[in-house]
Amino acid sequence: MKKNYIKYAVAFAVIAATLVYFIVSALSGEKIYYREVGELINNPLLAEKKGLRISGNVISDNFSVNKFEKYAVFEITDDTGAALPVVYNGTIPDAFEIGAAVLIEGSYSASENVFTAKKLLAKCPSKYEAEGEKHPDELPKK
Amino acid sequence: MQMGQGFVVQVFAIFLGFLAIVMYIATINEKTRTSTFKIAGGLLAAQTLLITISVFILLNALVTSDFAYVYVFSYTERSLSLPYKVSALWAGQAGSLLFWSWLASIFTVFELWRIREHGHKYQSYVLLVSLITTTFFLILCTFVTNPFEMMPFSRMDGQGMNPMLQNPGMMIHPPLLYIGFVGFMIPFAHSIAALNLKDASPYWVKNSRPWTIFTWIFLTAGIVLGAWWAYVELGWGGYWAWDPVENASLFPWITATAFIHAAIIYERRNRMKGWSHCLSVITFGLTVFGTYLTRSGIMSDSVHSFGKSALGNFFIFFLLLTTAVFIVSFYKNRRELADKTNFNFTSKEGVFFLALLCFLALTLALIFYTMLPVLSEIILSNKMSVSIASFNFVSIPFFTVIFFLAGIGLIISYNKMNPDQFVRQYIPVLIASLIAVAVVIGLGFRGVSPLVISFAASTVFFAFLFQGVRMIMKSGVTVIYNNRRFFGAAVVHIGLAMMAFGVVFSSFYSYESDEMTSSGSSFVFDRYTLAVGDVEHEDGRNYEANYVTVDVYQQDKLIFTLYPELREYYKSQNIFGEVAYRSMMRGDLYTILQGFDKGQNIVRLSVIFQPLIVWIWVGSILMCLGAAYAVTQNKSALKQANDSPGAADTSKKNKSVTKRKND
Repeated sequence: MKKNYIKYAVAFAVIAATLVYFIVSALSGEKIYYREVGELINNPLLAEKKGLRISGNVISDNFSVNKFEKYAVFEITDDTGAALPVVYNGTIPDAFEIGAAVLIEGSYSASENVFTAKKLLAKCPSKYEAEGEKHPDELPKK
Repeated sequence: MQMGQGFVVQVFAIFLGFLAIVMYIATINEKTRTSTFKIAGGLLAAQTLLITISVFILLNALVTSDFAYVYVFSYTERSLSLPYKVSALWAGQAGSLLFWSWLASIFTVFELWRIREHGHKYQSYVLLVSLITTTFFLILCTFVTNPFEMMPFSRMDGQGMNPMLQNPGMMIHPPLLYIGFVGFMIPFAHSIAALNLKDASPYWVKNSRPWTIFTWIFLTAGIVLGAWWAYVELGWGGYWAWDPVENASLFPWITATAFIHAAIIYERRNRMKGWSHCLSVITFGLTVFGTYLTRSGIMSDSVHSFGKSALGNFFIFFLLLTTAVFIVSFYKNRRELADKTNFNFTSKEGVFFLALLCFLALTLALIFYTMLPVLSEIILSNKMSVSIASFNFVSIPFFTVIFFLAGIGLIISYNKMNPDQFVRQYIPVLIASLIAVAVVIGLGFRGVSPLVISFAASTVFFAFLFQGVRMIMKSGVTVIYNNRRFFGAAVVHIGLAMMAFGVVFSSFYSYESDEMTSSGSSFVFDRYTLAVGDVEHEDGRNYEANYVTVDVYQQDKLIFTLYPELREYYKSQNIFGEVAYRSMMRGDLYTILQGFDKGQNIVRLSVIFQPLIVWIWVGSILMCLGAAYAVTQNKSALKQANDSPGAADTSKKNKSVTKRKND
């Protein structure tokens, strides 16, 4: 019986080692850090990380989008009210508009106070609202 | 908050559920008469009937556009076509929970009928687990988020359905997936029954096998359909983004596949019992975990999710309860479940064992990567995530190893490898696979990773193909019918190989071009010439659209025309691109209208060529059909052992298991 324990142990060890390798390589590799809009504006030093992912809502200030030319200039905000100017070049997702919830990925330049986005994702106007989303009561009566 | 009539029906159904639960517990503890057991069955059926009634109440409200209901107002509008009004049943949180509990109740009452000849205690355990699950989901859609909530004041029209959901694929994707999730409740219920009745025989896996396969088929179909929908609807040319919600459906699929394979060893060799039990609870747990990830809002940075919700805590509680019940049941049986003898790694049992480790390790890695944002925020107070490349990076080696193991595992014999037989049967597989890869290289494809995966996938294909041919040559064509289990499995694995090729080629070898062109001109892309026509206008039922005619020529011959368009739905102010693509066996030609300016006669088109992508869809259909064919045969293990390859050592064959009448 002892012999087989070694075989089991070897098999498990190999798989476990592979797993650890992947987890470690993923963590030490290109990571993307989440930041809030407010955090970034108030602590520009956080911007030294290469990959930043920020979520927020698009506000109407300085909003300019050209799906055709594939660029967009806009500002996003979060609950703190801080506004982050964003510049993006690439395919504009269908759901992108003023008021949309978006995810941007890229880097921030504190000196110019602008976020250069490499990726722009607009949230799927989803089927599952959370509580706190607009209740029909709040919508304007027709 | 006012509730419609459906609410009363739901509450009554919950009450019946509790009564039935109590009665089944009493039956298990032998504290009652047989009549209680029978009444419990009646109550169970009554609960199903009530849930069905409440579903019909909601369906009626949706179809007649009764905007007195918040749910109907939120997800439909008058001009929505009928099929989509029906699909609104599962479009929203509350409705989809009701739909889930309805499916669970139907499966439960079906099981009540299917296992009616079995011992009362066995039935009680199975039905108890199922009832608790059904009632749990029912409680969620009755007291936490209810589709029968009434509007405070009346409305003339609803908000309409999200245009992205107005697509045939999106209509059936949720029901398919839900069947694929809910169905795993039953094999898990059987596992609990076997554990608590201290039955270590393969009885429960054989008994629940039809459910396992049936559910697996629907889960496969649901996942692939979701990927297909993303491909044709979202317009980025891709079909899988490793988004947390997508991953959540994949986790139980991988562990269910592992469970199916462990169950084979359990059934035929009376081993891997602990593995089978654990995999059944892990799979069931992951289906609940998956729905938790989607609905709780903890993955707030996924494009699928929104905000936070109270549902999360309920799911966590349910998962903890399930885990606790399983651990207790398992622990009581730990000695009976242990394997009595060792196995060789160079045997089918050994190969299956390694494959299971790979499946589990891959699932763990993917779960870790998916949950990293949540974990890192809690543990490190620094929220981070991995890139999509990391997901691909970890999947590739695991799937490659699994493919190799699949080919080897088919050919290697039980108990101990017979070297002559193995070499004799595996060498042709290797040679054929090398030839296949040589052909691929000859066609111009390069790259170590894609070629290695292609080689591994080819070994799966040829192993099963050659084995099928060997069996036909030995026993005649009728063996295709007599051994449906093998031939069904062969089709599944051949479909798997096709899917692997489709994924590899479309991932590694696709290319795209962004063209600023104009009406009346043309450009060359791949082996085609695309002639751009005029931009025209069209009014749809609830949208207006602008589309451009693109004639596609190959060697001066017009082969087909595509009409990529930009659509604006009246209810939403957004413009949605409708992709136009053509599927061919060698690949898809995919066009997106990015924009246009009629005044300046500019048309901006993106064109993508995706090699072999249709192999993914075809391969998945083969997987589903093959599994369906295989599950039509549920006979004793004895006959299969005679037909399986390399049955060199038959002295340890499994005895067929008789049904138990008295627990």
